[in-house]
Amino acid sequence: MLEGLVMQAKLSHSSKPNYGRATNVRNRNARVGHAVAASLLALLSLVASDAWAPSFGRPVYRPPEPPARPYRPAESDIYRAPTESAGAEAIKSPWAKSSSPLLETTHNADGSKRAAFWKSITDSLGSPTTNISSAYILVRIVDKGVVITTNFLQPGYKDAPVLLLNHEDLSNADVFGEAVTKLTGSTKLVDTTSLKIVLDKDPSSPEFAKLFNKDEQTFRFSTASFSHAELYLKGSTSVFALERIDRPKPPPRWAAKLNKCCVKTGVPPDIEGWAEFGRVPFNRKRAQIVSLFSDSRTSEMLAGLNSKQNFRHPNEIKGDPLEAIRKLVDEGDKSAPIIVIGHTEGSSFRVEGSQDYAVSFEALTQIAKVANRPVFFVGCYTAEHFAMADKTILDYPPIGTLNLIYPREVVPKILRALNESSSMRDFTEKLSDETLDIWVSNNFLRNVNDGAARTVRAPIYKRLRDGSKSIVGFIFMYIPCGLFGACK
Amino acid sequence: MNARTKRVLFNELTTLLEYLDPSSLAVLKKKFSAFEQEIVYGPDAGEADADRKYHEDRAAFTSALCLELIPKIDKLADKTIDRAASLSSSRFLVALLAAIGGVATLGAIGIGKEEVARISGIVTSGVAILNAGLDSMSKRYTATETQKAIDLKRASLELAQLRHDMDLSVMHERNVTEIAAAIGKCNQIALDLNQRKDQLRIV
Repeated sequence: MLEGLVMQAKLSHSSKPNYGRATNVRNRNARVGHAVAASLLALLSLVASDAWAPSFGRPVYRPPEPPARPYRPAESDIYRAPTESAGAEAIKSPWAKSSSPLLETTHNADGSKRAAFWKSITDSLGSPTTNISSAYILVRIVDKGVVITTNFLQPGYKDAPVLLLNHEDLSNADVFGEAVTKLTGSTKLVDTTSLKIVLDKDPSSPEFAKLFNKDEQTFRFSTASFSHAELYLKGSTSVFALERIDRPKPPPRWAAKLNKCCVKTGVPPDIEGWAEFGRVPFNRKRAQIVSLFSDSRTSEMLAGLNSKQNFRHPNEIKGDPLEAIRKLVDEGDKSAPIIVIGHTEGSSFRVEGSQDYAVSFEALTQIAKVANRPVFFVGCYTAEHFAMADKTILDYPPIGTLNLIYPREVVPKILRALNESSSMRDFTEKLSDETLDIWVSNNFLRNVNDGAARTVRAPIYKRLRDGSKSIVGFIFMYIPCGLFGACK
Repeated sequence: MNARTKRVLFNELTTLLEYLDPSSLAVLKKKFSAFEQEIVYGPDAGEADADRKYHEDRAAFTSALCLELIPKIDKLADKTIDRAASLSSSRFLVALLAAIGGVATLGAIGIGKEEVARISGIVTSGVAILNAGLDSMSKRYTATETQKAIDLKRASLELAQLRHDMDLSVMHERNVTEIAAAIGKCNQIALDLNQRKDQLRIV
């Protein structure tokens, strides 16, 4: 139409004779004709667009912030446990109460073995304090018994009692509770009061087994008063920072922290394996996502991902879902992980909606195995597949009931991890935060598939409203050995 | 493995209500506080052994969501119809403004009366073409808008019908699968609207 108008303008000019002075006027008229035509075109564009239609002015969508809880950094003291001789001397020395008025301000006779032991403890593990929130209770296990003391100074005292218990008394909640009360007097323990356990034995020793139940991941004595603990073991240069995880039913589990925030593992932790995991590259630029969450707002969060290389909503999967995923995996970069997220049921990701289907973990892993690509599953709810004991090459151990993980809660974390991670460990760490703990299983990085790949299993824990934590989801990784260089 | 009933989702209904009227959703969130987490973070995976109470609780919430949504979708449909109806008069107004504006501009930049008359002839022709173009476009535009209005009206009617059926199913203690199916259909309607939210001017 613009061309028509211009032509019409030109024709109207050309129909008149060419008088010399009129040339400028004609040129000006031509320019005006062009301007008018352009104005009309602009008007037409405006009419054709929706820009002039009334808008309804809805607020811009922002994903909800997850609830936060106070951050407590993990301490990373170097092991400077008291010497063996100090502990032995403390045990040899008899406990003698003195009625001397000079001792009213001290629990241990000056110059006694107990006083020497208490001094060595407070010199090496933390200085005395009158503030219960920065205090600790020390439990030291030696051959002849258990020595308990604290750095907390009761009002009017300049040191703390050093108590000796029999080994069997440690597992007696009443005796242990009474001992703690003797140490702190009328002052009640608070959440930040820590428990420090010193064992001059190897984690594989019978003594450690008497102290800690590795199967249940619980201490064999009452730890209900403590939320945090530090474990000092012989031969380890690091202190293991432990955190209590309350379950719906007691006893609480204890987990070792693998980073400052929220990645945990069993006791004792595999520090070397964790370091090795940090050396496995994460190709974030080529990583792909298959989202099986049938929630439109969740898929909106993934809208920034290329629709040809990712499935952002199950509705984008056409035809047989497994075939569609296989095609996506085959066409992607072999070094980059493919991350499958969704609700799970039994041993499968389950998708309900316009397409009602299930994709089994095993079939997905088989696709990754054939393509020799790393595959990650991030799922939730009753993954009963994990309750099957070692029936497949993938070897999923029982990890309990999964529940209550929400897509809009987990997808922002996945996107953050996807955008910022440079190693597999990085990815795992960035999935967790103050609201969701990742618990890497003790025997992670185990060889599967005749040594062609390694797997990592990690339940996701969430802090519930009552303060306890419950398994709400899981991460499973199948990583071809090529990415490690080679599997040992 | 425990037999599980199909998950009963209302996530798309809450999303739609949040688009249309966040304050209404906030009120419902308080009233149905048990669903607060699910409203904020999206659907969970459902319960392993979903019982009747589970279905009835979710049906009650879905019913309340529908009750809020139906008049709001109706209102949106009415606005869409109004927009289509006002297009015709808007078209003439735009054409008239274009003509007056064009001539006034020519006069303002100092072109003589004769030239203005000649150019206004061009403008008049242009306006005629514009008018024809607008007429054609407005028909298409009106048809599109009318279709949107029809879709919205249909959605609100279906929601009203499903809500009615769902309430009756609960009242007469019908099988939970019927209740679940009704909730699922309501959610599906909302999903369809959410996926066309830009086109339907829901946001």
